[in-house]
Amino acid sequence: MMASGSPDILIVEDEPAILTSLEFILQHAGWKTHSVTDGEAAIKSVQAGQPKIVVLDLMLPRRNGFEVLKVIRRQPATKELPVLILTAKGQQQDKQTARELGASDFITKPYANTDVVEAVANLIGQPPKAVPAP
Amino acid sequence: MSISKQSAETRVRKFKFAAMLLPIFAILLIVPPLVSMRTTQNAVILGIPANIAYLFGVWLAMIIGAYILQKTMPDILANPPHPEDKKSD
Amino acid sequence: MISGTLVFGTSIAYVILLFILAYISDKNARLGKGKLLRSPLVFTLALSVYCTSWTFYGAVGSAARNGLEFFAIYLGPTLVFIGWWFGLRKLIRIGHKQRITSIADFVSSRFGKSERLAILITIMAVVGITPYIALQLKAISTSLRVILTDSPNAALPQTGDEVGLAFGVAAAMALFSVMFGTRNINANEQHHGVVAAIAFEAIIKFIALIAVGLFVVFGLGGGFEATYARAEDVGVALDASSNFGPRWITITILSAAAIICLPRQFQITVVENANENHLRTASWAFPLYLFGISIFTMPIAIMGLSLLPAGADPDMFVLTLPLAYDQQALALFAFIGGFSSATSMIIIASIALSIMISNHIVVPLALRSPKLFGLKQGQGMTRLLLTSRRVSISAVLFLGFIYFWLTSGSGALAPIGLISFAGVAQFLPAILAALYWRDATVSGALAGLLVGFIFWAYTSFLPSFGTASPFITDLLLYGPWQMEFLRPQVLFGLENMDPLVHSVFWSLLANSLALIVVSFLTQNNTVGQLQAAQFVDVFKQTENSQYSFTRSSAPLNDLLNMTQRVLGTEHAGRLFATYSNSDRIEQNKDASPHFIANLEKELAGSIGAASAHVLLGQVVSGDTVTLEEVMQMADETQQILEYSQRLEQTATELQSTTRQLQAANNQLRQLDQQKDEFLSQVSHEVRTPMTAIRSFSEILLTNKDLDSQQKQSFINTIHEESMRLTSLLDEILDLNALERGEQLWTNEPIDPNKAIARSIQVCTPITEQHQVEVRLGEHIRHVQVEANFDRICQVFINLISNAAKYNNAAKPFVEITSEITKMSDKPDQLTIRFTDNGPGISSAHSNTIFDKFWRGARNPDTAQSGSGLGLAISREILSQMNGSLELDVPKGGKAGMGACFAVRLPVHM
Repeated sequence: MMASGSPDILIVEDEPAILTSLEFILQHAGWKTHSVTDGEAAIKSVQAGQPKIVVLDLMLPRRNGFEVLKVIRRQPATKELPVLILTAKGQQQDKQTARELGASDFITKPYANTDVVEAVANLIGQPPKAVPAP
Repeated sequence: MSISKQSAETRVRKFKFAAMLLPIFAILLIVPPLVSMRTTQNAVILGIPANIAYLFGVWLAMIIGAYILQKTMPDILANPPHPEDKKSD
Repeated sequence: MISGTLVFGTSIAYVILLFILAYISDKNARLGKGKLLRSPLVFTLALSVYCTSWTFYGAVGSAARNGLEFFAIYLGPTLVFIGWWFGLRKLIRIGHKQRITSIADFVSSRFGKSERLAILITIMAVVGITPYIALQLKAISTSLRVILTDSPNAALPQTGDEVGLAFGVAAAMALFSVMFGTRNINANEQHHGVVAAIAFEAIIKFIALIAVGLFVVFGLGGGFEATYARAEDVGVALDASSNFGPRWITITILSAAAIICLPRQFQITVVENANENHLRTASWAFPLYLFGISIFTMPIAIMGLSLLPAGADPDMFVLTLPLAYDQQALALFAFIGGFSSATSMIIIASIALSIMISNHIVVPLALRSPKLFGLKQGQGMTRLLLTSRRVSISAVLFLGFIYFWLTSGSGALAPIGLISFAGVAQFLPAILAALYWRDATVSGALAGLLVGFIFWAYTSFLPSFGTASPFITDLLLYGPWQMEFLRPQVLFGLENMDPLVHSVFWSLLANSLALIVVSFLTQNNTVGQLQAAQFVDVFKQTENSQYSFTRSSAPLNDLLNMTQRVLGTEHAGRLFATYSNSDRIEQNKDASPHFIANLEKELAGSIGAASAHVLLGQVVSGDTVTLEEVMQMADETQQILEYSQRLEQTATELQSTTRQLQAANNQLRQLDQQKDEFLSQVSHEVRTPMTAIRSFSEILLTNKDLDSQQKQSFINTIHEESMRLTSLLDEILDLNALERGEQLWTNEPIDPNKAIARSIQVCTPITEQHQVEVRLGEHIRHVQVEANFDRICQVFINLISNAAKYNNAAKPFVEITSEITKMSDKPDQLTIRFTDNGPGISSAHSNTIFDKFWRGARNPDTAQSGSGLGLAISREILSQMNGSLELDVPKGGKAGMGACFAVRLPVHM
């Protein structure tokens, strides 16, 4: 399910099932996606692929989501890049940390598919082609 | 303060120990076997037969020991003069 | 030949000098002057009342007859004085605190103020001291005869003149003692005049003996060396080791006992002592005095034996040597020296004995039958006390005279003195018990003293009359009623023993045994227990921790009447004025218990503790309190101390409790944090499959146009994630149950190899998926372990699947081996190792891998990962099988090369 050309969305997620579902709903909404499953790969892809948004899981192998976020915010090129955090860790503390590090939005797993699509649309200022029914 | 107090306590302890040792050693010196050790010889010390000289010597040592002992007695052990240092009628 | 007039004149002049000296001293003391009288020097000199005519004359005789034995007479007291810190100091402290008036008072006061005990000791002392006084009379009369007749011959029979002379001396001494020893009746107030006279006499006798010694050694002998050189010729055995046999030890012990127990020594050391600190000076000065007075003893003996004709009395060498060489002035001086040493002993001994007789025999009798003694009202008691003391002095001296008369001509001076020593030494066990043994009882003391006294009288005192009575001579030879084993000097067949050693051995042994045994069998009454504490713990007590009639009351008026009777109007008035702070004594006002206690002490200073106690008991109503009550009342300080100690203890306990609580709190907080973390982890672990399930469900709900293949795939995912969720929850519950220690199964003997085979079989899908080879290495074949088959399979499956899932090697494998480890204190262990060639586990993680939810770096190919609880559960399972699961170093391999898990299980025997 790879879209050609530079992707609209970079998905960083290590759980295969969740990754499959994210790819499905975001592509279904009309965006091009690129997926990676660990932190290292995510940093490389951000620099190489210049996505419009990153959908980022926090619990990741090699480098966790916060570290990836920090790197993104440090780089001048990606400083303004919208980053949507997806995490199963629902604690207030994590939300706080994410906001301080410059996360654009924060969604707790398990999520409603529509919430993810809406959040992405908001952040990139580009409405989805087909809004999934609630 | 506490240091000087401690050393005073140590002095008291040492004094009491010495006060105990003196008579014990004195007894050991004047009972057999030590006291009869020299009786087989005919030695003479300062013109006095050895075993008489020994007795006088030990005796004098006891006296000197007792003198030194009471001289070095810590002041805090000295009993104040008897409260009613008695006067006659 | 010195003229009788000169000798008598000098003697009388000397006695007059003593009178004057005593008179002036008394007067000065009363005026508060005479600091010297209360100096340690006078105290030390007065102590030398120990050196009687026995020392002055008899020591030389003893040296001539028995060699070095005389040393022991002085070494005993020396030991006691250099050990003052432990004995004499305590004796004096108690003496001052309890207003002790005599040695009988001391012992009786300690043992419940017992009258019987005081009487017994008084009688014993009188009997024991009588020979000693006789010895002084004998010395004076013999020396007089020698100096008047100029004859060194000892064999001369005692003439009637001599007996008359002795009587005269005794009478003169009685007069002196009465005049200066009974001026006032408060025995606790020192006899300054007498003490001054004694100190003066100490100087006289010392100088006289030194003068004779110097003359003999340097005038006649030609120096010490030449003098001692004659020793062998005259048969003085200086080198015989027999010098230091049983007699030496016995005499040392006797003389050490005597310096405490002799009534006159007790009088000077304890009663006349003005200040405890004087003992410090006396501790070395008194032994020095003894040392000085002994220097010439042996040389005089040698020279006497060498120069004087055979048959000359060695006891008189001090006198006869100067006489033989026409040194008449020196002889006269020597005579005065001997005279002074005899008189000082007679004076102090008679005073000490008279105080004992009047306080412990006359006063108790008077209290029993007042009419007989003319005690009804008014001044009776004071008069009675003074009279009884005066009569006692005369009686004691008369007794001494009688003894002298009866035993006339029987032997030398020293043996007589030793009889007295052995007599008073019977007080020693009781005194030592009084000072140091709290559980010694009055019955024990009575028994010991009585038994010791009887043994002494039979083995020592009685035989001294041997020459006076043929009956006693017979008794000595054949025993009473011809019973040989009861012969006084060979008692119970103890033969070949020196009579003195024999007597001292039996009497002191029986004495001590009786004291100890009876004390163990009996108990002290309340007063006895209190007094025991007052004596034994004298250094622990604070001032005025007195008691007695503590809960009692008495009209002041009655008390005053009684006190006036004992102490006289003037003294009593002063006492009551001081204590009540008022001159008027109101008729019916009651005295305070404190005042009564003080009054008792004051009275004890005059008539002894036992009599004072009885006397006060007649006036004071109310009983002596029980021991418990006194302890409660008197020791308030102690109670406060205890209370504060308890508080302190409580505070300490509180502190420790606080610390424990803090520790528990910390632990709880830690546990709480762990629980939070666990919950957060569980939440995360649950959310992940939930996310997939929810997301795919929504996709399936909203996208009706999905193709069936896609649908099927999504539904499969939902199913798998549901299964994962289920197994996760199962494992959480399982782990929870295991951690709580619930018994989920029973262990039984199983074959571990079967479990391994089953586990390999179960894992086949995973191992095949990852192309992992499972090898069975060296292993123990026939063995059984205590475990549960299903559960142990769970552990093995977990280990094999982990090894497969995380193994990224080119040719991955898992090897399973086992071996038996011998254990000394528990069943042998079977160790099963699961070794792989995967990435291994870094040492940093070697501990954390067993934590819950820990996961290794995931193999990207792995479609599914575990819950992260597998190792934690496995570990719990094994611990419930008394086994263990550890990360191990592969056998024969290096650390870091692959992982090796060791499962240890107890072997079924």
